[in-house]
Amino acid sequence: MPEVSQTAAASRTARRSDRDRWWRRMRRDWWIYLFLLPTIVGYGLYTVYPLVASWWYSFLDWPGFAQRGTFIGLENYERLISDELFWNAFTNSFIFLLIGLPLRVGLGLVLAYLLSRKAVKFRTGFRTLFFLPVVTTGAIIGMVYTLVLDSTGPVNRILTGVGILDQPIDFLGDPDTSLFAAIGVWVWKWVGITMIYWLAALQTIPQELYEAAQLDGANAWQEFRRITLPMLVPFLIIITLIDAVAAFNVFDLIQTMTAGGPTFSSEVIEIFIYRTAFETTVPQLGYASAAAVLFGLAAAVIAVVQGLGAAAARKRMVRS
Amino acid sequence: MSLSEPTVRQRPTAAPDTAPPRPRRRPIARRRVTTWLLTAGLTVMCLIWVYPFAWLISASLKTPLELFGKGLNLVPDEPQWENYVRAWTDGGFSTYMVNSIIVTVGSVALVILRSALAGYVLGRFDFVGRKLIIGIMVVTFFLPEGYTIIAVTQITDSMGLLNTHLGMILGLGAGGHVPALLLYAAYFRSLPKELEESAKVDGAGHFRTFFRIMLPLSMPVTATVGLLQFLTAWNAFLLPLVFTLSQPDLRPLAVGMVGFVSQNYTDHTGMAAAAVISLTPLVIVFILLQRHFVNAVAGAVKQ
Amino acid sequence: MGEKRSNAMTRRQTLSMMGGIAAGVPLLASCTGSGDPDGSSGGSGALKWWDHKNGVWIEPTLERVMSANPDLTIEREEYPASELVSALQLGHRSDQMPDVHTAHPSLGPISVLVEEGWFQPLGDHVDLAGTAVADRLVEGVHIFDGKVYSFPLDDGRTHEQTPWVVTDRLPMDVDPEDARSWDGFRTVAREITKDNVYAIAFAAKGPNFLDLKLQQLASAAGATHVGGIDYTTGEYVFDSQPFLDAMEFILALHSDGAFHPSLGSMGPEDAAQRWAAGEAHIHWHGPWVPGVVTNNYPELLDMGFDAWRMPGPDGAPSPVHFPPPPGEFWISSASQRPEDAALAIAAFATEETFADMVNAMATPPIDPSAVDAAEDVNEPYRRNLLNLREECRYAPAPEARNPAVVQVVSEMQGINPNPAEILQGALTETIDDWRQALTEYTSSISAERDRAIEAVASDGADVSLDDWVFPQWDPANDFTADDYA
Repeated sequence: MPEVSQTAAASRTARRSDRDRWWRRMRRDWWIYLFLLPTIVGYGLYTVYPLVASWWYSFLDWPGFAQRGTFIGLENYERLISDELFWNAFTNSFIFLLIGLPLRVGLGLVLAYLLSRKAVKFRTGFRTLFFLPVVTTGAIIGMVYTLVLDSTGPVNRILTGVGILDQPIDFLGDPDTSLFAAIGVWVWKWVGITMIYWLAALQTIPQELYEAAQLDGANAWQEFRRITLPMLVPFLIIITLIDAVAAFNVFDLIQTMTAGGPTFSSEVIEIFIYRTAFETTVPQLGYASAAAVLFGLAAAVIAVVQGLGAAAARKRMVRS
Repeated sequence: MSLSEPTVRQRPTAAPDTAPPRPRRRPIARRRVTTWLLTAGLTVMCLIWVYPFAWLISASLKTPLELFGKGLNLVPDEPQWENYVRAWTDGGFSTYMVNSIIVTVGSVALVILRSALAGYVLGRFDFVGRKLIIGIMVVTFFLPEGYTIIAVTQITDSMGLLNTHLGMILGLGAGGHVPALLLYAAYFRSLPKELEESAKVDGAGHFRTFFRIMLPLSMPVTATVGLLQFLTAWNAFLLPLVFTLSQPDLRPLAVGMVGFVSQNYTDHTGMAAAAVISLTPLVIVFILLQRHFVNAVAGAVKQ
Repeated sequence: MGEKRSNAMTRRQTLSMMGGIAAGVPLLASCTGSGDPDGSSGGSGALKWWDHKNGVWIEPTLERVMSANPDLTIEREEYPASELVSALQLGHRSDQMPDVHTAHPSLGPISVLVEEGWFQPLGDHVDLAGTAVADRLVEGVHIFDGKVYSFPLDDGRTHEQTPWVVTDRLPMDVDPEDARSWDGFRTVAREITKDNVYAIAFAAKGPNFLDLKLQQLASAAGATHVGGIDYTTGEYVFDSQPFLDAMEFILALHSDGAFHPSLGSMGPEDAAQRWAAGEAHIHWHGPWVPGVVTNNYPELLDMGFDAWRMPGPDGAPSPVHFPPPPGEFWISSASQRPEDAALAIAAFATEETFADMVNAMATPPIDPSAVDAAEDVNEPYRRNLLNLREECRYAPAPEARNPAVVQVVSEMQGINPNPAEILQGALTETIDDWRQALTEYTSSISAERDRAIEAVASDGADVSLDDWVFPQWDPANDFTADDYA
């Protein structure tokens, strides 16, 4: 017993001296906090507060025309769970991710690899052209593709002309194809920036490795296989993560092209949220917030699982 | 991860399986063939890539009826230059362009400055609260964002900054950006300790050390963060829309496009002209800077 | 559309632009901002005015107001309907409201908005007695607690089912009389679909156009309903025979190949453009089409631009029913200068404005004499307006008799897929059994209304299913303000 109280007293003194030391350090490091101030203030106001607020909204019954909502607990979430359209949008978002992400990352790598080779001509020109869609605003791209991809547009005329299609397909207006067409346009728009990431990654590979390989008589394929790919693995994880976050940020593109239709076939979660918040007969902000939170939770879980998987894969790689 | 496999399979031609007996001479001839094959392949792909832009330019010079009637034909009967006049003056695109530049440049500067400052101290110094700050950021980064636009609007309004450029700049640059911050932190951590010591010997304070030595050294990260924020801000739609509701002449380009759509009619050709106008400066900037972009991103991710 | 923006607006933009250049450093402007931080407050500056209507007839009236009151400037901003709704909702929550705005139905039921304090009364500042709108005001629609809040400008009895054609482009001579019955319409549509030009540019991208098509064609087939509620019984009738007939008619046209194949990616204005460009022969839409044509595709006027009649199952359609036309412009409760706002709004209740509406070939005004007096309109436009008078009738408005009805409506939650989405699903073959889907929707929405009635009644409101029943209503005639008594 006395031993215990002695330890407690000791730890109390230790704690007090800890606190003193903290104060001293904080006073000495005042400039550090000054450096951090813009971030702390900005982050608090523009990230933490809105995040907490939107979580709070998700517990409210809040029609769009009202200034304020009333608390209804978990009711929004209960409704969401049984809302088929929410799950439809949820699924569409993940299909978007599962197809669009590998395409974007993979195609970006192919382009970057080719455009980093000295053997290829006009590299600057190619890079610029592939980058062009990245800086084009979503509304414009929406307009162009609605007309380029429709059943009397150029794409269909070519495909039917050379006999690939018997019947024109209204790519964005047919529920069987609308989501995939939207994914295609998304890849088209953003692959340019992924290509830049990969170009940067390729630049970090020391030139000597290639020279050594060439002395050994390796051909281009062997070079790529033995040197380029292994060196790129760490970047693959970073680039995939960055692009995955972007894949959940497709609002303006889809809104201008299909607005989620026809019949919800291309409705991703952001469109669902927007529709719930603004476009139904009685807009429901609480419900929209709940949908955003629930989807975000799912996405976070998946991101964590993916992160763990990637870490495991990396570990295995290092070992072998 | 298996993601890279398909890319490998797609690679064309270059690789016969067995190494040729005399590796020195033949590859040169073959390399030339490969060069042209690759270039040709890329050209085809590029044509697909730029077709929509060719279409856009052609649309910007057509009459509304030609736009649909002529299908594949990209050449207008008679170029309608007045589409450009309409887009620039009536459509208000000259104003939108200026707004876009102000908001984009402002938010890029804001993000760079605050992430660099914070990244510097987080990356190089141990101080009370460091773990807490990093912890909060990591947690909020992974927590679902929810529907934040309402709260962000309220905050901005309560500071009296709705319908100002500054409000949009803060809205786009003041929060978030955890990756940018971590990128700076990692970069600064990798720099040798002696830098500050020699600065101290020269009598430089913390601020001078940062602005004279550290910030210039972090150019690769700055360029990367700048490029990413530039793209985000330039393409931003919902936030600037909401922030300029009652002051439409403060709108940036992406939002200004809405002006071409009215109740029963969409001015496609004017919109196309406006798009061409808004793209031109960006293309020029990219052609001039693309090598630096790539180098910078490479420098930034090297750690 | 640039030219539909107000001149005041463009001038301002030019000015601020020049200011920006003069300042030299754009960044400087970014720090100060050039907007005044709280939109509509203060007694000076311009009166802010947002609407989703056609500037061609709105701006002349605003110009008249400004020239009669040199101290008053009005800044008008024209939004597409959906943007207006988002803008107003966000504006309301962030104190960025204009002084005057239109209230698109998607914003919410008007009386709920009144109750939520969105508006201030117009009648406090102006007297509408003696104007053409005075006897068209309905309690619960324009008048709340005895105060006038707004007044209608559109007549409201305007269906969107007129087949607009360009006669010279038709591949053969067509007698419009042959296209009056549904079967005849189908036959004509089949025959004129030729050489990659389709009969109809049908806009199936969004639900709004489909909603209009389905509901109004169901009316033509005899459903006495507004928004799917039959006011003779108070029941939802989306699964009644007229609705099924209308569905079948539309689907038959589709399976005949009469629709432009891009239907799934066309909104109404895309459809108009494709029709104008000659990809389809019929643009099946509202009375404002001649105005759009005159402004944007004047070449069509010399090519036999014409209006056919709305088709009905056996020729002349049964009347299409419309609620009393809603108020057009509303004074925001945020406005600090309601007198100026009222003055500007009241200027619309004049013969000049009604004449402007007709001359702009917009939706017809509430004052029918303006249509007869107008000189400067094309013949198909005028003829179509006269047709509308035969084909459209006013229905009762339940909220005019019992305001508590609106509480029920705003308590109700949407059910998807709704009939427009079911039609879209049937057209794109994602919904096979659309009859079943309509039946399910009808029973779910009825159940939802029952639930909402119960919820609202338990909060003390006096409301029941009977509030949707109007036994004295004769669907063949207009239901007027006097009939509620």
